[in-house]
Amino acid sequence: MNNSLDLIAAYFEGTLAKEEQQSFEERCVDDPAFAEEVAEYIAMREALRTELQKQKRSEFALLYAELSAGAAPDEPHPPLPLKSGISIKKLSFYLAAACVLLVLGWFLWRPAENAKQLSENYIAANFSTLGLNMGGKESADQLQKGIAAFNAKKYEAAEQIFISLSRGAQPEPEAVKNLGITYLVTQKYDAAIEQFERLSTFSLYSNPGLFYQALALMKRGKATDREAAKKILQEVVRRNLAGSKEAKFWLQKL
Amino acid sequence: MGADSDMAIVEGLKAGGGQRRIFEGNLYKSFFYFIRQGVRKYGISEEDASSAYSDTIISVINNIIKGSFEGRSALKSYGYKIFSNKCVDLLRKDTTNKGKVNQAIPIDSLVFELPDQARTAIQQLLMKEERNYLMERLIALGEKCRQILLFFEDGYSDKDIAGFMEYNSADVVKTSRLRCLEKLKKKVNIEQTVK
Repeated sequence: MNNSLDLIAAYFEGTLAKEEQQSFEERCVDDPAFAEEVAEYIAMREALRTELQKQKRSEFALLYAELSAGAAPDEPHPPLPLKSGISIKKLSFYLAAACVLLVLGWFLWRPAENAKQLSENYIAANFSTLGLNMGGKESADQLQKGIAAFNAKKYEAAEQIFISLSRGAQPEPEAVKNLGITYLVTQKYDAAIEQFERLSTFSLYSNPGLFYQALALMKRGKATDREAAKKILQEVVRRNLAGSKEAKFWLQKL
Repeated sequence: MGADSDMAIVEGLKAGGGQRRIFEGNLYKSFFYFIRQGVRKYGISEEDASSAYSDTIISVINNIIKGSFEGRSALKSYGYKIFSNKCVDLLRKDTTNKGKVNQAIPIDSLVFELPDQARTAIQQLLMKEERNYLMERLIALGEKCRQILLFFEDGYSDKDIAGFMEYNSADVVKTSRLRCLEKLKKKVNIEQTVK
């Protein structure tokens, strides 16, 4: 283990003694190589914080969708006045009928609506712009061009670039992913599902292919899509794949 | 929301563990109506207001966990002040390009924990381009390493992380997360040398 890293981490975790803290601060000024290491450490922690905030925003976006669909808390609704002429028997009948309708409505409408709402919200929170490029060096420039076109909402141009990069003997997984996302935001759901399925076959550190495939199915919303999405999400959770946290949450809602 | 609910949320967030997420959600739900107020008061879109609100809740959570929220004001007033500032920032960002200038070093960067002289020395070395590059490497770090580092960054203790990720002890977590940072550092250094 790198001793400097231990020391730097200990400083920022507040576990150094007073004299050690002082000597650490002096080294930052007097020792350029050490200062460089401290800057690297801070940059790494900032990158982590940025990533963490991104994740939290996605989680809150889900909560936002959930709360927007219902009434906002802390805005109290006044109790409905009861007409004095209504008998308890009639009231019980109305309440029972309302419950049946509610339950029926829930089974017929809510899960499908939930699936769509959840997917739309995820897409709005995560795919309004594309993020960083993980591609190989040769294709990196082209990939960046595709990302720039996507972010400028020139989806046709982005699509063409991602198609060219995702073909051939060594297709670029990042291009396949971005092509799927481009299809998804332009509502070409069948094509999006195909690309995400393809993405899921690549061997990557973190592969969101299956999770995105479920997302696209939820958004497409054909008769069997919700069930198919559920099965895929269960697999994402079981294999702890990228997106498993959202998948767990969504499975409770679907 | 009253003082009791405030205290329940603050204590719940500080206690850490698996329950923390529930209190994060409760905090988010508590002042959800800020979003509508933001839309009305500042004339921003609902999307912008909800994004300002999410960032507000993230800040409040961080401040509670770090201990910088001292409970002198109610959570509602504290949160609303942060939320208003974020809405104003959004408005400014729309009308000027100040947002771009302010992106250089985040206000909550660890660099601000250093005393003046040391901070100046380190600040000069912190380049935005490097941070973007780091983000790329972070993605390629591997899920387990990424997860352990993100839990720590989220303010969870090594003991909590050991529980979540089934490590034998807090000490093993500490060694593992430092190894992961070392791995990230090496990835960046090697690839920069190749470049």
